[in-house]
Amino acid sequence: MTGSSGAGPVTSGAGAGAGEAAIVGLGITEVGKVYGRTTADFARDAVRLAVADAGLALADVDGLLVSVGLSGGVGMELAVRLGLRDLRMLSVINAWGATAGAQIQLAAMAVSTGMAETVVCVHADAPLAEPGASAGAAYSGGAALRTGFGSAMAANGFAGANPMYALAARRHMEAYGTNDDHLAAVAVGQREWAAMNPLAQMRTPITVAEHHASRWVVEPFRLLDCCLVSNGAVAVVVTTAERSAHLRQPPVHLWGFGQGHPGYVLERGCELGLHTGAVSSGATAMRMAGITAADVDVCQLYDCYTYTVIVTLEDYGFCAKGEGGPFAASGALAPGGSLPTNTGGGQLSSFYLWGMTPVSEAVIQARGQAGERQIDRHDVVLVSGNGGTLDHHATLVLSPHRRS
Amino acid sequence: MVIEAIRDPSSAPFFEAAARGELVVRICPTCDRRARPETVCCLECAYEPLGWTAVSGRATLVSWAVVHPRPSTAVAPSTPSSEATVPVVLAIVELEEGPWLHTRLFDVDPASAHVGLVLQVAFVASGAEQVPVFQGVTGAGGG
Repeated sequence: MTGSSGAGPVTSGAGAGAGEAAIVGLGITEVGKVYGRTTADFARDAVRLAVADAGLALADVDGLLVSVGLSGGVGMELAVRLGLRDLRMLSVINAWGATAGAQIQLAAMAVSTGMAETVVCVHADAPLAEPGASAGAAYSGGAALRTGFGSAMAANGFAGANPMYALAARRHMEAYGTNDDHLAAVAVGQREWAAMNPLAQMRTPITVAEHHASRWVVEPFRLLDCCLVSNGAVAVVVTTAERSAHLRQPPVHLWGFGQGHPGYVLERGCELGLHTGAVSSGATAMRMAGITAADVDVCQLYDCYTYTVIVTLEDYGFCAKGEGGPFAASGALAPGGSLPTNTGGGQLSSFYLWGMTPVSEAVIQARGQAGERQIDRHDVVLVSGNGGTLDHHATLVLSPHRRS
Repeated sequence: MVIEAIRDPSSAPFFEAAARGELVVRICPTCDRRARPETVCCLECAYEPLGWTAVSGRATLVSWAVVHPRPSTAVAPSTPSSEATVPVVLAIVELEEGPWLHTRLFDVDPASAHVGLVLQVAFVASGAEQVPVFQGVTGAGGG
């Protein structure tokens, strides 16, 4: 390992095995308001792109882990549609926004154990049906809200994820003093990054005042607090660390990973909105990687809302509980800051493909291929995924260096 | 499209009680633990099936979120709240007995909302059913 301040990775006796896998291919289709293609079309494209990026052929693939967003329409059949034969591993994986992390973790375990050698993880979604369709309508709530207890919520005005996260965010704001300016700092900083990302859907710089002037979605969230809605797909190829050294791209090694599923019981004493699964997921991943938060050079944090970034930073230990807002407002996350975060613009400004948004930017940064937004120090890159209403969390610790 | 409450087999006792103006939650017959209405299995001892028990309807505010009326657009509204002309204040409330409910505040100015605000259940019609909402308690300071 070179260039990292972290003394931990080499000497730690914690965890073995995670370091034996690497991400060697990345495929990103056209993303955003891309019409006329189905979710399955995007999924096949992303797999082909990722395999080609790795310098491999489809025939080299012996594992496939499929994830699909709310648009549906992609499953196990993706393998035969692509002509993949004699696979050693094939599953559809769902942990909502934590899925990408969960897929890559399973893939890493499969290649570390010899169950498979080359596993592709893909996520595809195409919620935008046609030009002009409401982005919000794409996620306004499913069958669960039509009858029974859910219909009582829907009758009261609940629809989709926005109110659920707004309630979590308000709780954080009341408990810790997190405010509008803190939320804005996340959005403004990420847009600054997005301006340097040719793939980003939203690249025009914004100010705190423009954030405050954007319309309410569900207070305390304004439009500029909420992620985009995107069509497209992303795939990555995972193989053994050994083999990764001989492929086309600089390998991105998996140093550690974890998951956290708090299982909130919604009653007196519940920590919803205050602490998330990032607490245990991050601790597991960093212990496995042999690092602490202080060793992390770059963060790619799941940012379905500005608030999610703030609470995740706290739970990973980058700042004290309740200090995530002031930390963001200090400029730490933005270009030039001490903890470059969501350096492609994140889900708020680049594109929204669940956990593959942060994963893809992490791979690009770890490879040193981020162009004008490249972070010089990128020896340790932390990635988060978050699903449900903060119900599910996944963490990856990535590095361009093989763990010795 | 206004979404109306529609009972299904598991929620029928809840809506039956609501029709009588009574709020009910689940209760474990073996350990007496109370839980949210949609709970299927005791989260303490794993026993099922759970029973139903009436609660006082007194609650305090845990969190709230305001759905503001949206200027009409070319896009058809997809939620009841997007058709509203006044802000809808969605909320998590903590029943006196402990369980949380996702509900709506009725006749509460969002500017006066605060954690711990004392509330009391009321019922409003939704289609053929009654659904619980919560309103402020006159004279109660809350806090």
